[in-house]
Amino acid sequence: MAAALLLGYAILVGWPGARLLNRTQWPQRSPGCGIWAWQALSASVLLAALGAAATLALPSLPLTGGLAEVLDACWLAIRQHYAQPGGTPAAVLGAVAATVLVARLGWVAGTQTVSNARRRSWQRRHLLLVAQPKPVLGAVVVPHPTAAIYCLPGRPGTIVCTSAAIATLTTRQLQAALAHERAHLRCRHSLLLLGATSLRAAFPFVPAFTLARDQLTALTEMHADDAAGADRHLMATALVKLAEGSAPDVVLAVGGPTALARVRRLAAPPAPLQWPWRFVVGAATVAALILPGVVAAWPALTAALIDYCPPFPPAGL
Amino acid sequence: MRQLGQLEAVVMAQLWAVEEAMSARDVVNHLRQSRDIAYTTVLTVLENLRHKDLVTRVKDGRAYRYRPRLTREEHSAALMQEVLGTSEDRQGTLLRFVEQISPEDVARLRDILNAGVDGKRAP
Repeated sequence: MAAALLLGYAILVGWPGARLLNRTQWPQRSPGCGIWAWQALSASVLLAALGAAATLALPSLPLTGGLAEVLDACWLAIRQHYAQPGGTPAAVLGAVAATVLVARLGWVAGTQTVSNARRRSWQRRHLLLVAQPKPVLGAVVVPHPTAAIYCLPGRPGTIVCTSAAIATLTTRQLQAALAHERAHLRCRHSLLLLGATSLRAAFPFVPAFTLARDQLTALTEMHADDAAGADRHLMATALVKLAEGSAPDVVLAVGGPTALARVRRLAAPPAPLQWPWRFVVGAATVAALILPGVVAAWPALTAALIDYCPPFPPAGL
Repeated sequence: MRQLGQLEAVVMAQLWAVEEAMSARDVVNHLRQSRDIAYTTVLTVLENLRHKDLVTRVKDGRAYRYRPRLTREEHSAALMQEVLGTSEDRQGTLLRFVEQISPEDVARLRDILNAGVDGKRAP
């Protein structure tokens, strides 16, 4: 029963639920809240799927004994509360599904992390050779004819500017752009995006994970635009100038939609989400995160309330 | 490791600064003007750089003469090629201030900016 509920929830939130959230406009008004909402949605779907598999597998696990000790309840009662029509085959399916879920995500996230670390290390080694540190800017400068600014996450993170970027922007525009990059490092957006990218790569058939990754990419940029604390006009101008300054003959130009949304937002900022609504989002986030766990644990919790054991001692005790 | 990286940067900078190939002794003499450094250290660094395919060497009598494999510009270009590319893998590595934009979208961006931000006109 719990497994069916959890699976139903995962499908509902993971598919139409995610599409619904995707159509709303409020995340752009307060990107910080939007980021939490999308992360909670993804985590909720994942937890529900894991919970469904785990509750299916529970009756067949020897683990139940330890759980009973913790709850001071009859272990047979717990087993009965988790029993479902499928019997042992369903329990095995649950165990396999749970293992596959965890292994798949672990593998994708792990390889992604290693790949990122290797590339960043390569970047840093080469930056050491060709880039000039400019402590006054809080960044290093690479002599290059294409205007670009980027940050390399790490301990500590590095912010990189090309010489062309410095030539293209005024001092104040440059400072705005660098403040945006510092916000990325401070808020650890790269970690957030690693999670979203891993979920999408591991389970690409789940709309929630694909939509979450796209939305989070845009929302983290908007959040950094806000968190930089720079004048909006300066930020927008820096954005447009750097967009103009990058090589125009590249076929695969992916940054258009996000950049347009950012500049529109900087040019005509929408009113931020008011406190009652922020509270609603916060409450929904917490609910989405704990609900799968509660539903999964419910049978065990109700079993704990039973204060009798079956009359005969079960075999093996 | 960080120390070694710094030394490699200093030695590469020295090689780039001088037009012709330099022997380890030449490099040491130049560097001794601003720091205390041992000949063997410089030789080790040059050999490290050679194994990393960053410098090449030619035999000149009994000594070797080293020169950078790529010019400073070529090196920067190689670095930035990774950054300016659009591969999926690269997107996880770093965060660009603004990603690659098509010329049509660039024109649209300019229009929005010119229309005014917060009532201010574009510079």
